[in-house]
Amino acid sequence: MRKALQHLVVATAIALAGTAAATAGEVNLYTSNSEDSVAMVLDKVREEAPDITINVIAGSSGTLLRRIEAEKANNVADLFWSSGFSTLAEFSDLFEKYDSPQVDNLLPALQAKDDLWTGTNTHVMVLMINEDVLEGAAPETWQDIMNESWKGKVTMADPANSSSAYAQLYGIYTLYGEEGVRKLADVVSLQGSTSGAYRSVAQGEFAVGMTMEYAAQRYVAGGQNEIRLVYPSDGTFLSPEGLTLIKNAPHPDDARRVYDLLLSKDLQAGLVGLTFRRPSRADLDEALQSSGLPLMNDIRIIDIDQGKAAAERDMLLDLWTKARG
Amino acid sequence: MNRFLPWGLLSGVALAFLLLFIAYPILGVLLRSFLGENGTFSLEGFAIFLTQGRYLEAFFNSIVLGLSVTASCTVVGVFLAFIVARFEIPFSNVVFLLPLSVLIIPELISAQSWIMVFGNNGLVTNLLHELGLPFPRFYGWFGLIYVMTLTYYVHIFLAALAALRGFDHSLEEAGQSLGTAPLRTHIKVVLPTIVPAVLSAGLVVFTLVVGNFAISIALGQRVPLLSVLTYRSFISELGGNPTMQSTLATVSILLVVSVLSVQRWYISRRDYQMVAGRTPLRARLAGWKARIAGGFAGLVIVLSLLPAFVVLVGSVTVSRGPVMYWGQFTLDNYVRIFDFNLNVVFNSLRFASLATLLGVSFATLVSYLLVKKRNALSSTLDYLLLLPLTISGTVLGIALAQGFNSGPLVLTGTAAIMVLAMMLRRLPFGVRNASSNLHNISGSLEEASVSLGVPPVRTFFNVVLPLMAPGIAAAAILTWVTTVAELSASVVIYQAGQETLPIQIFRLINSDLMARASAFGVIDMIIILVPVFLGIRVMKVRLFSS
Repeated sequence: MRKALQHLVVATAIALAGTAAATAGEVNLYTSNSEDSVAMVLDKVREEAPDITINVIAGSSGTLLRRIEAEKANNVADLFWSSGFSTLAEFSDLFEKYDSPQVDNLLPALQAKDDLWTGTNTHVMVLMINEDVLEGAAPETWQDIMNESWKGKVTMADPANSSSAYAQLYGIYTLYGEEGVRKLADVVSLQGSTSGAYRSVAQGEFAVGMTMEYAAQRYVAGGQNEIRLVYPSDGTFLSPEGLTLIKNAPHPDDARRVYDLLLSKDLQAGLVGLTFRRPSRADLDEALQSSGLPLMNDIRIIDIDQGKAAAERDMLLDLWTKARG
Repeated sequence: MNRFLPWGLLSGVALAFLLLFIAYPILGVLLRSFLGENGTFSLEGFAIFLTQGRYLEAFFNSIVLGLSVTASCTVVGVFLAFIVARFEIPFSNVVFLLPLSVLIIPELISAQSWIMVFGNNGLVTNLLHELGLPFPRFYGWFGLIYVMTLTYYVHIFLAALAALRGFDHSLEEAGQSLGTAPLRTHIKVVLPTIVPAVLSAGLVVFTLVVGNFAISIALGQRVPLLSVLTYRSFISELGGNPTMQSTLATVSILLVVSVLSVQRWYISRRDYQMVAGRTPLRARLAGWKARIAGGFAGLVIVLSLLPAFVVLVGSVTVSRGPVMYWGQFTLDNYVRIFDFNLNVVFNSLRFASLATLLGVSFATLVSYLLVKKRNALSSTLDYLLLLPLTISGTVLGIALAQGFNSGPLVLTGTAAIMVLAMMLRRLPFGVRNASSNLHNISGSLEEASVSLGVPPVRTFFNVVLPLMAPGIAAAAILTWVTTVAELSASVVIYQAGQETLPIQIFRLINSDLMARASAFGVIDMIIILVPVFLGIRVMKVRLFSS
């Protein structure tokens, strides 16, 4: 019991230290990014803007956005970094527009000039191949895996639970219509969560998985030689992620400085080497090559209207559920 | 007179607390499962449950899994209890560490370590792969049954051991002197006497399996299970359907309640009274029999303790992203925690110590009220304390989150609700531990003190509390251990910045970063181990007496 009390005292002291009154030169960053990415940002800020202290609140994007919503009356957050555009759209009443001078250096698809956020990176949907369990030739297109012969060998996350899997499904729907969705539904095995798809391919349960570029590339870079990425030649889809300034931010000016830094060339180059998430800037060919990712020009991209994708969600998921039977 | 005042008032306070934080949220879940999208009465949730293949399939999968694991636990547990009770095997003392191993190694870590051993990228799998031998797919039924058996057999082992120890040896001798061969005697005489104990432990195992979240989600990727669907309905990346959340939660509550009523009915029907007999001597075994019995016991011990070792090795193994380089060592995983994640360790310590403090104080008070100061409210209290047993952690989390997200008392997103969830899950066990000595404390001691002029409340502190101390200490240690390892309720309600060790481990396993998850796992086990070790060694607390 005395031990518990001691813990309590220590823990309370720490908790109190953490909530010290905010002073000038502070920015509260709410982030869903991994802590090594955050550490890189902190180093960059220390270098470029030594007068700013960053307080990090980390969590999954859903819980963070709900927390920002809960704190609306007495807002603490300055910046939120980062979540998919469609998720951000659902919470858009929490954000404030900021036109960063860096926006002109970004890929057009990620500039989001009419939105309340700016693209920081983008997911690219790929086919992740495990050569160890692959029989015959690897698929080259989305159409290839819709063939009956792939039944039980291809997996994806459940589009009802996973936003990236929904982006994949919507892409297939754009390319091949209802017929394509039905064919895919007949062949593909579903995983409960986003991570299930790439994990099960990495572990050799499936030969092919529909997943995000960065998730698959981590295994390649880690040295798992049997893993390879295929960018389907019938065109693939982007699922961009963005950074945003929070409305009524307690430190708006400093937050804008950090906003610009998050879009800066050095930092984005460093982050792609660390996380393999494709940066939003258009001038990072060298960094992309050294992290093993193909250049944007070498990938065929199908344009997807994110707003339309969100609007047609219920209809498409309904179609999907029926097709799955 | 003031006979009623302190205790009657406290009973009322305890009752109000349980009504507010247990009855109200659970009732809310039950009611909401009958509400449609627009807030009117509808059976839509149950209609979807019964017509959409996935839900019903998950329901039956959960039942089948519960039955399979209960059966395999019974085989392992009874067999091991039999060997330990009847024969002298070389390391029988180590066997008594087994129940502890289950306490010390949280099930999430156990599941994670077995994935590192038998998963498709696992140590053994790769080894066999090198030798050209196929290994059965670990994810799915095989892995689920295997890991859950190793997690839960201890319940049956302890029950069977207690029954066998209390078994009167002269019955068996009588059987043998009447000419039945020893083996048939065992089957005809010994087995029926341990059946009630094993069966009620088996039902406990069944409810634990049905409500299990950590192992189910780690290994049940391809097998839809009720607990995982319930969780996913609540934590969908794209917002879930509240009706469906409540419906799934209601179904799992009903399932457990029906199992528990079967158990109560069964126990009330059968009652073997053992006259205190002679405990049988433990036979010395020799030759092949000894090797088989000792080998089996040894294997179970090794398998129970192996996860801790695997996680320890994993935590100092070099990894690049998700790829592990076994055989190359580093302390990086710990350095990272020290640099970035100390707050996670402090969160765990803070929530667990608060939950333990609150839970044990409450359990001590309530057990005293229930045993020594029965009044009109006591039977209601008894029933309310059973409620947490009928719901899995996931359901409790959902009930609290839905029950306190609006209205006069908003707790969703606060640290208070995390502490509450952790405390409530353990409350029934805490009360059981705390009251373990109370029945033996004579009321005349108290009366003597009161009649000498010491007020009742001070008498409680001066006379009763010291006598209750061993039970309270056991309750405190067990509450601490389970709250530090708590995942299923807290993962539903935590907010950013409130991550505990198990939540962090869960998130890292999800990103397939096993080496980093292992480092957190080791820290979690150390935090669990320290009080257990102190309690057993220094304070001589008996954790498994009840």
